[in-house]
Amino acid sequence: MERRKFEDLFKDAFEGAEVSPTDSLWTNIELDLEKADGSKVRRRLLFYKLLAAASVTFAMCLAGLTYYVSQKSDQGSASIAANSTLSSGTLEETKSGSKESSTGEADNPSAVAEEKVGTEAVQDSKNINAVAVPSRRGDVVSHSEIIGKSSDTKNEDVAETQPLLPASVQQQGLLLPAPAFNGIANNEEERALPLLYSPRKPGLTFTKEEPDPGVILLAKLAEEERRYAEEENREKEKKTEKLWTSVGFAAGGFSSVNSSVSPTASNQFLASSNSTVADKQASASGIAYSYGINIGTRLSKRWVLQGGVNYLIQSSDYTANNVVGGSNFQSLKAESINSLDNLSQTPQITGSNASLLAPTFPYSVNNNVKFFSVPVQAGYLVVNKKFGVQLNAGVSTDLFLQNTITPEGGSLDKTTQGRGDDSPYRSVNFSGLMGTEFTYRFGQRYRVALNPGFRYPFNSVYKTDVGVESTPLTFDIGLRFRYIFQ
Amino acid sequence: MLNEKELIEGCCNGDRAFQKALYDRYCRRMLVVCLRYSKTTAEAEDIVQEGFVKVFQGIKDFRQESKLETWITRIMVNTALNAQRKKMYLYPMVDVTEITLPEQEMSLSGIHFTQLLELIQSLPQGCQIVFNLFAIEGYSHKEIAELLGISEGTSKSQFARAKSLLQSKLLTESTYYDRYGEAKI
Repeated sequence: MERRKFEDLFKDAFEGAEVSPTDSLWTNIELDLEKADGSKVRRRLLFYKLLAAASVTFAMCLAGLTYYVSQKSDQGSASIAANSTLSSGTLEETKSGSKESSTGEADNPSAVAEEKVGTEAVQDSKNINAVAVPSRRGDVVSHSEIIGKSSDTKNEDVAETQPLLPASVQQQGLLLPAPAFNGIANNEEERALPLLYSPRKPGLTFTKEEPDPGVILLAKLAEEERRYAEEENREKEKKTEKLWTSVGFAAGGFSSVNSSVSPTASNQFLASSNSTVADKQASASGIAYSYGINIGTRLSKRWVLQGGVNYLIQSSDYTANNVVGGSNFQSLKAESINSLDNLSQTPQITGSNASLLAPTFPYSVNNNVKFFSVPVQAGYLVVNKKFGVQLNAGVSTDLFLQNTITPEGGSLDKTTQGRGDDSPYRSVNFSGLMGTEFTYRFGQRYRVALNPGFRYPFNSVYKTDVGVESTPLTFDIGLRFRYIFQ
Repeated sequence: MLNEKELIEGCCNGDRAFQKALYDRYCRRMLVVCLRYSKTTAEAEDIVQEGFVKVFQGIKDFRQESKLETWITRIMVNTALNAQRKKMYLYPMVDVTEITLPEQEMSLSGIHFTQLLELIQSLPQGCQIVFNLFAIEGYSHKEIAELLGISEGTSKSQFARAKSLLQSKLLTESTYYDRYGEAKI
């Protein structure tokens, strides 16, 4: 880029410009340099430290290995010496008292071993002579005696002697190999020969008295791990809710959104008094509440099954315009769907229903219906923590217990209709359930649940022949306390 | 007096006396360089300190293909840029439309370089760095863009802004001198 005059002016202005720094600047630089040098030295020191540590580790490993090998060799020597003693003893039994020196050495196996292993044993021919080798004839002949014979004789003797030696001795390699005997012609050669013992074979087996510490450690660790796993499982089991029971109550409202009254059913009233009480009663909305106990179990990680028994009450009010009188109006009842059947079956009123229905001022009637409900629900745990969210769906078997018609004021009789043929209500009905549970665990064994839900009967609560259809949709919110068994 | 080669050799050996000699020779000029890239003297001295440590640590790698002063200056500029980088992120340079300013006849002969330093230090952070790199160090906008990780356009616009600001400030200064006929310092 073309440089302009303006820039050049600035460049020129700073040409050779100098500003003196403070005196401490060099000191600071020196300090920084010292620090940098120090870090270099530290790095070098660290290297030497690591080197030293590595050397010590290596030396320790080497020492350990050496110690192990020496221990192993001592064991080998001891067993060889023991075998030697055994053979010497046997020989002594064969011909006792003939070789005192041999017996004397056999009393001290370690000494024998040392003499046989060490070079002194080789150098001292007398000591070697002391090592007795049994002959074919059962005599104990000394090593030197064998050596003193001609080579042919020696071969023969040795070949014949070998089978007479105990198997343990043979296994330990105590026999001189044949070529070695062949090569023995004089003392010098004898000295050059290998020892009577075959080379030791280092093995990596541990003696029973000293088990491998690594194996012990591993075993301990495995044991500890198992214990921890068990503890963890126990803890997990504590937290897992497998079986629980709950007690609670629910309150809400219901609304008969799909109620209808067939003309045949309402005719009993309509024909006489234009009453629409059946419709009013069937479509009446009210309050519903229930209480009961439930039990639940977990099917899988997320799925649960809950069931129980509940006492369900639905209470609604409607307005009536007539009263139902008994024969001769001795008793007066509030008009209700319960009266429909009675009206039709009463012989006196077959021709004139109006005789038993008396119009009156509108009055309020309360209809209280009670069910025994057995819900079974499957639940899906959306959140399964201390705070839980669960979606429930299921069916409920509702057993009708009774309904009570309570007219307003005390002038009319309160009537109660139980389950059976006389009741306009179905004895057994089924309802669909759907709801949610918001739960909170506040102890190891307790959980509180708030569960809003819907209940909708699959069929009309009234019998088909009554001609009244009513399927009240109930919405309630329950509060339950759950006790967790396990 | 030690020549440049002797200084370098002495510093390569880690001789503190040679290091001190090199410092004494260049510290004042380097402080000016660092002052141009910083807002305060203390800040500039910090950069000089860090820069000289780098110089002494890296002098073994100096191939003597350029003048020692040029090499030290480059180290100081890089150190200054590193020191200012965080601030540059704090004050991002916005790519504004390039301003074409009319070239004005201007003389800086009557103005001391310390005043010019003050003017440069008064520039916004981005403008200050780009102006120094372009006008005084002689970098191209492309090089500045690569050095600072910005676009070439940003470099140009920042320089144009810096130039505009400096020109207006210089005009004010010259008016002051014309009126009162005395230097401020």
